[in-house]
Amino acid sequence: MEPIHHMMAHFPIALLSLALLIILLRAFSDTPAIRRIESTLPLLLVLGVAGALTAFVTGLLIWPSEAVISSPMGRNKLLMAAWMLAAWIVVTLLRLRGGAGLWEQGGRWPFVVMSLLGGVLLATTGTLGGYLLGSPSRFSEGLRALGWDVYHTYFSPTWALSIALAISVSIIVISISCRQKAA
Amino acid sequence: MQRSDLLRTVALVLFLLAFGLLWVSNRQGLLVPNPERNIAVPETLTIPFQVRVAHNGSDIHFQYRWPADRPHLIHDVLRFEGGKWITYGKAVPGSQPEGLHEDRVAMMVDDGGVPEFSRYGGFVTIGNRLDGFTNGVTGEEAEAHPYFGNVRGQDAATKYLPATRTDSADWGAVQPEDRLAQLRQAGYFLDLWHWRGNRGGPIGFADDQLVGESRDGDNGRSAWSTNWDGENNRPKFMFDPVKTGYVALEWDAILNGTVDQDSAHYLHANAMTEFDADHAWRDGDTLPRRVLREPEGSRADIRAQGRWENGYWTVTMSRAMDTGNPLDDKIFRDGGSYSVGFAVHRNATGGRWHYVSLPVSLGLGRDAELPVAHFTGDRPPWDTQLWYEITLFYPGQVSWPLLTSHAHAGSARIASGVPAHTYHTPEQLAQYGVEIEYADAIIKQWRWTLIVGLLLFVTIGFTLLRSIRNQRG
Repeated sequence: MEPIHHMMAHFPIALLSLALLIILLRAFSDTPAIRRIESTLPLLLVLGVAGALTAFVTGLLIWPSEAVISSPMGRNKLLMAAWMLAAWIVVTLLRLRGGAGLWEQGGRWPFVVMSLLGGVLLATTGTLGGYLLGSPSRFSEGLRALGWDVYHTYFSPTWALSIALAISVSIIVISISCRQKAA
Repeated sequence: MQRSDLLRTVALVLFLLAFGLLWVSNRQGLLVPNPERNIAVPETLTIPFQVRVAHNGSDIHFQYRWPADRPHLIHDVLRFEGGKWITYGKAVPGSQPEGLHEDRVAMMVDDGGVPEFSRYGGFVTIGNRLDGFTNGVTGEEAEAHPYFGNVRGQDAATKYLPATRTDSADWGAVQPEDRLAQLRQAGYFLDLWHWRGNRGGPIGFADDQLVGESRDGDNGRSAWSTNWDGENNRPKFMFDPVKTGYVALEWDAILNGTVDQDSAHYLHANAMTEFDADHAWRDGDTLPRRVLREPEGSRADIRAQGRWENGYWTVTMSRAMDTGNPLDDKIFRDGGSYSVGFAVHRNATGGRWHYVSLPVSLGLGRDAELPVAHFTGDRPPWDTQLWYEITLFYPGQVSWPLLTSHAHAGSARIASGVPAHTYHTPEQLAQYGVEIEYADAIIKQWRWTLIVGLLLFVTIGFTLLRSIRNQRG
């Protein structure tokens, strides 16, 4: 399964990186040429997410789950890959639902921010993959400078998780209450 | 600003705040000392270490250098308190609070008899449930073992090599004695050179040991005995005031680390006399719990010199290349290739609370990471020889059975003989060593972090998608 995972991992890296580049171009440019390029986004995003999903599943099958969970790097890879996948699914759904008109509406900047977050998570996931192959990357030095050593399992304390959970619930409540008021 | 725009902005800001919180709070809590589980992680996880080697055809000399804030010259002591002699310096997880426990440097040597050693170093000697591990074999279990307890008189589970067990993951599953003897004859053991800052070091000896079915001394007599008269519950010896000017050490000097390494701070025939029970002992009078003596036999093969200066220990160990004890020692031959691994105890630590190296190749006239210089005369010209520099790391509770099990993603690579340094650095192994000590708590917290992070994405996705649909509507 290892060779298949390595092969599949190239698809999301290439497709989603290109998608991010197009999103950034479109965020700051409204020329007809950029609009035409932007029209490829749905395809790039769908294929990129499909590739990421396949890479995620094949990655899980390389080692026994016990080995993945027992290794700090394995744990980090799993967490970052799951978050990366989640971020790009959100980006893809936003673009599919909003269409090209997304750029004309207020959804532009949330879309760009989510894409940037997805890009950082994609780079982090790829970096961890390099470490697992015995090929460290200098990208990790940037992560270390920002407070996380990739050799450390990424986890947050209970108090921080509780606050994040409360924020998550708040976002849902705000969203639903706004909808009800609008109705 | 429209309501939907405001909703998106508020939701996104909250989402980013939550994610930022998960980032900045990363790794807080959890990693705290837990002596009851034998967990005490040193503040510094890696240290630099230097070594150089020279031989003159008959003797081989190893010189080592490593940083240490202060020397720890005394291993354990007996302190007079309220009419009784109390022992201080018993092993604890991490640093001993009174600063007792001697500094040490150790080196394992192999000549190819233990093939895994050249690839994985001392990890190959770390079996399951060794002394000092969270789930270590208890003293009672060890003493009750039919071979180690009853025959060998051991009271702790020490390092061992995998093939000395019928099940390498089971400390107690030792091979029959005739098989152990066969393995030893075949060279299946590691030579262990062990300089101790108190037990032998001051009188010019390192402890000559080996690792086979357990960590043992070579045949012969060690360089120390215990200064305790069990019958009368008092020390056997004290300092000879005629020779030293005092009968006991000062407790404060031991606590402050100001014992002079050039003074008679150890009990030895040259500086001690029989204990005088009639002496007017005062509270705080302190005597070493060890008495140094000339070692004998194969155990006395290694001469040593050690000195702490300007924040560094420099220790030299010297031995005949061929000791004539091939069942205890690895014999060095010109033209030979060997593997060595190093370990250092500092900051008043014992047991597994040391820093270790990955294996290093050693060559006498052969290509190797650590080449052995040839010299003529009796003393190596150290000043003309460069140091070989490596990084030692805190190894945590990583065992060979774990590394070769399905719980280690690299177990297949170990089975196919891929060396540890291919995938791991000392810095990485130090971090992994710490992680494994807290594995259960870390995995639990990591799971929750993964779930909460995913929930945040679901939440923001739900909100943004709804707001877009609203807008379209």
